[in-house]
Amino acid sequence: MLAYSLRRVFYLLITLFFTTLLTFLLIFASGDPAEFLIPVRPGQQPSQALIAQVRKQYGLDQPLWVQYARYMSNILRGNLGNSWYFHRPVSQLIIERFPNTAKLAVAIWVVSLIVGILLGISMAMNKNSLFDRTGIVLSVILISIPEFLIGILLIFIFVNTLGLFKNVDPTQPKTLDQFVLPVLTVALPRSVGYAISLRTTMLNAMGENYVRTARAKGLNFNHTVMKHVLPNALVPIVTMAGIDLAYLLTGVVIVETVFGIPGIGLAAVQATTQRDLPVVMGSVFITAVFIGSLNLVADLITARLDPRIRLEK
Amino acid sequence: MAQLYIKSKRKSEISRSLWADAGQQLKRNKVFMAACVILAVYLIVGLFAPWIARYDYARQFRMRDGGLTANGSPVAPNSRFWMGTDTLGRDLYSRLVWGTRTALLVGISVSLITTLVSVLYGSIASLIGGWVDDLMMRAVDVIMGLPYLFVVLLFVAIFRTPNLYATIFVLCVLQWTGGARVFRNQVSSIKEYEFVLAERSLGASTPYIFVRHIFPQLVPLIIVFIGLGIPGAIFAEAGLSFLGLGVPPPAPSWGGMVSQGIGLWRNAWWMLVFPAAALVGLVIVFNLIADGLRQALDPRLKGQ
Repeated sequence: MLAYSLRRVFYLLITLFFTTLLTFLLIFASGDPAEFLIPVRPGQQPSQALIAQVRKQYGLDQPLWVQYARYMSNILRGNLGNSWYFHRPVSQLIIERFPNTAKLAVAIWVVSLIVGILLGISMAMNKNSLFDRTGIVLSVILISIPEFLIGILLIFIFVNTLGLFKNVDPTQPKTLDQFVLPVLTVALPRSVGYAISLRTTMLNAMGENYVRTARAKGLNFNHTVMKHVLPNALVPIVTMAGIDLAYLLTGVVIVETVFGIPGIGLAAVQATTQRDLPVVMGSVFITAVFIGSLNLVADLITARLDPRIRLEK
Repeated sequence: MAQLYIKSKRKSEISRSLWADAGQQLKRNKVFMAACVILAVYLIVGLFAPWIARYDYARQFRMRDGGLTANGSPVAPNSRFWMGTDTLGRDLYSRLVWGTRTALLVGISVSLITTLVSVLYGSIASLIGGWVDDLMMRAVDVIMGLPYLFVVLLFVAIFRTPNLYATIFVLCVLQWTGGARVFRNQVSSIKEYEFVLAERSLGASTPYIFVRHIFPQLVPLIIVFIGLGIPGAIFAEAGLSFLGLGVPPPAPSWGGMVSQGIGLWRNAWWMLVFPAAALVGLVIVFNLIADGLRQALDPRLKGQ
C-alpha cells in the first residue's frame, strides 16, 4: 500500500509539473507577453524602446528555460505573479476565493457520490420496479439539462414558489443553507449518473458465479448484495468519480456564476474577459493541484477496496 | 410449408452480420426512431435557417417598428414576432432558428474532429507500442487530470475567440483524451487476433493491416463515439456562451440567449423559455440517439 501511495504521489507531481509547463508555453505561443503588459489606447502602437524596457524589466529577454526556471521557483515559493487588472498578488486572490470553490466542490462530490450510491443500490435491488424505471427516465432528462438551467429551475422552485432560502446572500457563503441550492444544482445530475452506472455494474455482478455460490450456501439476498456484490460494483464508481472531478469543476464555475458566489471560477471567468493572464494561469494551477489531490484520495480509496489495484505493477 | 420455414430461417442466418443486426435492433427501438425524426426537424431548421428565419438575426427593431414596448422593454410573443423580442428589439424566433445552426455546427464538427484525433492518437500509440505507447498514454492521463474549463478559459484568454471556428478549436483541444484511451485499448486487443498475426507473417505492413483489418473493426465504436460527443460539445458550447466566452455577439447562440434571459425571466419569460427548451430538446434527442447507437453497436457492451 505504501509503495502504491508513493507512486501515486509521484504521478501527481509529474502532472503538476506538466501543468505549469503547459500554461507557461501557452503564454509564449500567444505572442509577445510584453504587448499585454503595456497599456495602449486602441489604434496606438507602443514604441520599440518601451517594449524593450518592459521586456528587460520582466526578464522577458532571457532564454526561455531561464524564464521557466524562475517561474517554477516562484510558484514553489507561493508566488503566482501579480494580477494585471487588480494590481495585487494572484496568491492573495486565490487565498480569498479558493475556499468557497473548494467547499462547494467537495460538498458536491460527497453529496453526489452518497446519493448516487444509495439510489443505485435501491434501483438495482428493485430492478424493473416503478422506482427503477422512473430513475432511468429521470436520468435521461437530467443529464440533458445544462447546469445553468438546473440552477435557474431550482431557484424558481425553491425560492420563488416555495419561498425557501429567501434571505440567502450568496456573496457570503458561510452557513449551510446557502450551499443547498448550488450544491444540488451540480449534484443532482451527477448523482443520477452515478446511480445508473452503479445499477448496471451491480446487475452485471449479480449474474456472476460467486453470487450464486453465496446464495447456494444459504446467505439471504440482501446480505449477498451488501457483502459481496456492492464492494465489487463500487470500484468502477469511485474510479469514475475521480475522473469526473475535472468536469465537476466545470459545474462549479457555472454555479458560481449563476448564484454569484465569489469563488475561483467566477474570478477566472472575469479575468478571462479582461485577459488578465496571471489570474487565469493561477486558477488553472490551483485547481489542478486540487483535482490532483482529490484524485489521489479517490485512487487510494479504490486501492483499499480492490487489492488487485494496489498489487498491480 | 416446410420449405418456406427453411427459407426464412436461412434468410435470417444470412442477415446476421453486425450491421444488419444493429439496423434491426435500431428499427425496433421506438425511442431511437422518434428521436431521429425530431433530429431531422432540427437539421432542416439548421440547414435552411436563412429561409425559415423571418428576419435577420442581428436586426434591431426600434420602438416605432413595434420591436420594443413604449418603455423600451422586450415585446411578448405576437403575430409579428412569434417568440417575442429581446432587450435590443431583435426577433427571438429568427435568433432561435439561426442558433440551431450554431449548435449543430459546433456539436457535429467538434465531435467529428475529436473522434478522428482520438482514433489516430490511440491507434498510433497502440501500433508503435513499447515506451512510445506508455509515454503517449501517460500524456493522456496528465491532460485528463487538468481542470477542463479552466484550461479552456486560458485558451480563450490567450487567443480570444473572435469567431465560431476559434470556439470549435478551443472545445476540441481537450475533449479527445477519453476517446484516445478507449481506442488505444480497442486496437491493442484487435492486434492480438490470429488473423492479424497471419497477415503479418505474410509480410503485410503495419499501415496496411491497420487500414485493411483494424480500422473496419473500429467503425462501430467510432459511430458510437461521434454520437456521444455531439451532445457533450453542444453542452460545452452553450456553457461557454452562457459565460459570455463562446460565439461572440451578435451571432446567436442558445447559451448566450439563455444568459440574457435569466435576469429578465420575471418580465420576459420568452427570452429564457424558448432558447432553454430548444437546447434541452436537442441534447435529449442526441443523448437518446447516442444511447440507441451504443446499445446496438458498442462492442464493449456485447455479451453483457
